[in-house]
Amino acid sequence: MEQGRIGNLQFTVLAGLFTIGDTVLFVPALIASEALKDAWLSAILALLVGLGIIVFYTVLQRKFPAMTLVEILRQLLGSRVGGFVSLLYVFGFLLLIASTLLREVGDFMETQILPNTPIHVVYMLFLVIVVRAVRGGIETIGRTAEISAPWVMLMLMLLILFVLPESRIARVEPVLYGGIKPVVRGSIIFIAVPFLELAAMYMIFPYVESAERIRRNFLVGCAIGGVLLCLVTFLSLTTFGAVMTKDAIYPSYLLAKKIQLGEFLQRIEALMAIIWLFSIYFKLTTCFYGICLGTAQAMGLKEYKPLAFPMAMILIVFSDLIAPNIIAFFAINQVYVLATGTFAIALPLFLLLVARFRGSALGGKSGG
Amino acid sequence: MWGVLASFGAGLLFAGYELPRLLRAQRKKEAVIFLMFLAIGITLCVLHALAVPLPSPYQWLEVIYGPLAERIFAMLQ
Repeated sequence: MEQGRIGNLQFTVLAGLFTIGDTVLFVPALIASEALKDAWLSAILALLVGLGIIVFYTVLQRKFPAMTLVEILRQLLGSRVGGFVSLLYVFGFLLLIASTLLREVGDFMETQILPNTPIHVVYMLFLVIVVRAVRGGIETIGRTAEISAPWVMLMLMLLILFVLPESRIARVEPVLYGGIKPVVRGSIIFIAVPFLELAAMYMIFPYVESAERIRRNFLVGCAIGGVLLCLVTFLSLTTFGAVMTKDAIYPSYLLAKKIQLGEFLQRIEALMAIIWLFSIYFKLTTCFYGICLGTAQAMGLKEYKPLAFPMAMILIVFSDLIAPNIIAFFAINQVYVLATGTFAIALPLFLLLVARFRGSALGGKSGG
Repeated sequence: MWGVLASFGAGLLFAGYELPRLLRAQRKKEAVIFLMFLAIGITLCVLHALAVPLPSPYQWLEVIYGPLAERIFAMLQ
């Protein structure tokens, strides 16, 4: 169905962009609301656990290097049960992430940059390029990621460098004042938002050039993204203090507004918005690709591209339905952690067990 | 009203774009599934444009995971 292949570097870059995704925009606020001054410790803890989760993902990938998660499901559980579980994965997991992402773009543009534009116009404009990329196939997505990633990196570096003079370590002292529990609570959200969602990458694993190098490249991409996220969190805390970070909806946008070099370089926050508009774009494209490809594979179709337009219509409605307003939108985290965990941890674990018990029955086929 | 018209217009546009190619290539199953999802999409868009209250996906998640989530996070308080 998918003839294209993406290179190892493209995959690494895509993993990094996926990790940065929407996390960079609002997760500092979310973890600061739990862990306050120790949010940066939560971020580091989450990064360590997250890298472990990445290794876990590749265990299943190594067992079935030539299959997407949907194909694995259909082989192990049969086309009926497997197809049904696949649709749950596609609509309960990928569509959930995708509609959350689209909603975030809409909310951000609506509140910060285009206040008078109807939110659906923002949705549609964003979806046009997403649908275009998905219809282009995985190669298009990979190459676009390769071209855009340096800009995201450059902007993130500039953001970090320019804000550095404003930061004061004293704002995060004393360390661990509230004990370890708030740190763990904060890190759970951070683990869910990029690292559990990364299970969406199961849909593109088989299309990467060399399957045996996926683990290394996946780790490198996610580690780079994760370290940058930790830096942004730390900078928000040391620049604004814990209270302002947790009350700001978009702390990194606030950081970008802080940038001021002399009299001539200021108000460049719209330029800095490139960071998360690009990274959210690639995260959404990857998920949307997974939705179309996954549905097509689950139903045994020969091509997935025709599904892109109808799915885009469904996605727009879901993005609106997710939460009535932005406050309710931020209150759904705890449930979100468990919902993504079911598909990111429990499902692959279950498949590994099934593969072990059925290993002999499937014979050589289990190698994919 | 505009939302309803736009939903039907977009649906027609998509169908006109995809269907001839699918039918010419003898992809009957693909065409059927495409129409099915297009129908779901148009229905959702029209209902949403008419401000019919639709259930939020998070309400279902809340029902399924809510009690467990409360218990887990209560352990960390």
